[in-house]
Amino acid sequence: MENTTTDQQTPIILSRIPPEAEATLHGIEVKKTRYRRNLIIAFAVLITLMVATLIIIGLDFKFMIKWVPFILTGIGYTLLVSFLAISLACFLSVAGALGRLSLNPVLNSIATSYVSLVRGTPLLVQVYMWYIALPQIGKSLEDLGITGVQALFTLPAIPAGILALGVCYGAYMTETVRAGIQSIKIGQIEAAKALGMTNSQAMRRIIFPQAVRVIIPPVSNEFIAMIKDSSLVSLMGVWELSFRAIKIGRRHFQSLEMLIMVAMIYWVMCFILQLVQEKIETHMARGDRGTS
Amino acid sequence: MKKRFWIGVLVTGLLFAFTGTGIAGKSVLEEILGANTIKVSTDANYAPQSFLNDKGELEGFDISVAKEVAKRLGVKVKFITPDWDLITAGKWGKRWDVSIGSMTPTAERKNALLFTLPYYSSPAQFAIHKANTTIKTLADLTGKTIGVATETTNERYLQKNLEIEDVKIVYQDWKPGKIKTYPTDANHIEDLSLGDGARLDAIFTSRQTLAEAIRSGCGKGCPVKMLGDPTYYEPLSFALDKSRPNSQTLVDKLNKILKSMYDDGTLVKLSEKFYHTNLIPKL
Repeated sequence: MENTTTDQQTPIILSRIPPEAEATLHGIEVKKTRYRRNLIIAFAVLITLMVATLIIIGLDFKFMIKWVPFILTGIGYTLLVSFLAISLACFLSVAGALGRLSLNPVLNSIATSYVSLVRGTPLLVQVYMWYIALPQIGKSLEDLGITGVQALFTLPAIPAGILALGVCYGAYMTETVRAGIQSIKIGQIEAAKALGMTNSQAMRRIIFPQAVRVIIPPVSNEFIAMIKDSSLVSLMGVWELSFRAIKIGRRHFQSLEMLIMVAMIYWVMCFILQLVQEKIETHMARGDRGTS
Repeated sequence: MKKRFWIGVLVTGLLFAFTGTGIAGKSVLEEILGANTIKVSTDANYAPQSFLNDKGELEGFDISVAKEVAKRLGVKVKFITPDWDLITAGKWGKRWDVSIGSMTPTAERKNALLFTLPYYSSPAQFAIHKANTTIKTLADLTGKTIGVATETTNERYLQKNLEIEDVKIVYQDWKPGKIKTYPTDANHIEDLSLGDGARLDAIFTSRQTLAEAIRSGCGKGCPVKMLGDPTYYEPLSFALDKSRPNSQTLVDKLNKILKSMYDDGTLVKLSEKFYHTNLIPKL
């Protein structure tokens, strides 16, 4: 009966919320805590199950720990290739999206066929194209009398990989950026024009800043996918994460251990990226009224 | 107006770039000596020829031979580790100068590559799971599933489509049921280790790769045993890119170096060290 004293002291404030509503609010609060608790339990069970499976299948953990530093050394190449490739892809995607939306038939057809061709062929094939086929084009051009092209066209493994990944992801992201631009209501560009902006000014100042917000989640998606696809450059002998893991696994006939380990490393990297994505999203949404 | 100006700049720039770099006539050997480095490709998937040792560095018979060759050329050595298919395909475009990777000079590869004298020879060997009791001779492999590495002479041998100059190949008079190809030898050894007949009944690879796998215990105890005698011996050479002009002087120079390495017993010593047997042919 302690409450009675406080009730008597602040009767006016409490009376503003009807007791029924307060009960409902309290119920919601209880549900929320219960949900959070159950979620944590579910995650804990999942993790325990995963660890248990790893132990049951009899992994050689000593072997895995021994090679962690060697394999982690490859993270530099993985990140280098991914970051440069995503930068290239961002540039290409903006150019591609503008081309796709362009009323100029030449630019439009170039952008459309770029997306269609690159999106319609396997990335693995494209990696080989950049690495093996490009020097042959250089050679035939050289035979036609243009000297010095072959050396230019014979890309080392890392630039070839960056180009392959960047060009491929640029095509996917072209469509993302185009969708982002098109999601902005026509009224925005009309208003910009009414203020006397040119087309490019309106694009830069009004449409793009709004479109970027929309395309952050799908672009982060592409980046996460790219981190993993960067393992394709191992084909050309770049000593990145998966190259190292696969070679060591084969050498000691313990591929399972090495593959599980390298999968974990990729997972952690992607998890960190996911957190970064969430940060960027909240930052971009700071002007919004809260919806959650 | 502005657009046309930029196109003009681009065209003249390209013209300058093309005419400026056109220096012809330098031989590959001179280029290597000029750069003071020989770039050697090797596939680091094959113990004990070429593999990553406990420190994660390249090691093996091929690696030691390459280092010795570079020493005798008086240049530094740089290793490049592309996939095996990329090496045998030729058209390397100066990414690497020579392949020192236990390659057999087959008639087909000679279309794209130049070969030196052989620096050792390798016996090809069948192997089966230890638990198997029904397969006693090679002929018992009739109709069985056999694992082999892709784009290798062993695959060609099973397909009865192998041509090596100066080597007489006698094919088996029985037919395998199914030939399963793998990216590299380690993969089919692992697959056979899964269990007798789990995915494979037998594998076909070089004897020294098998010996090394059994010696190192390939995972847990390596349940693999050799079957019968080696079916053929293949010579193994360095390979050069045929599409690169002026390569012949380098081939001659490498042959000379190989002869000196044979004469002073270096090759035999390396063979004993890595293969525990002498695989060096008489030159």
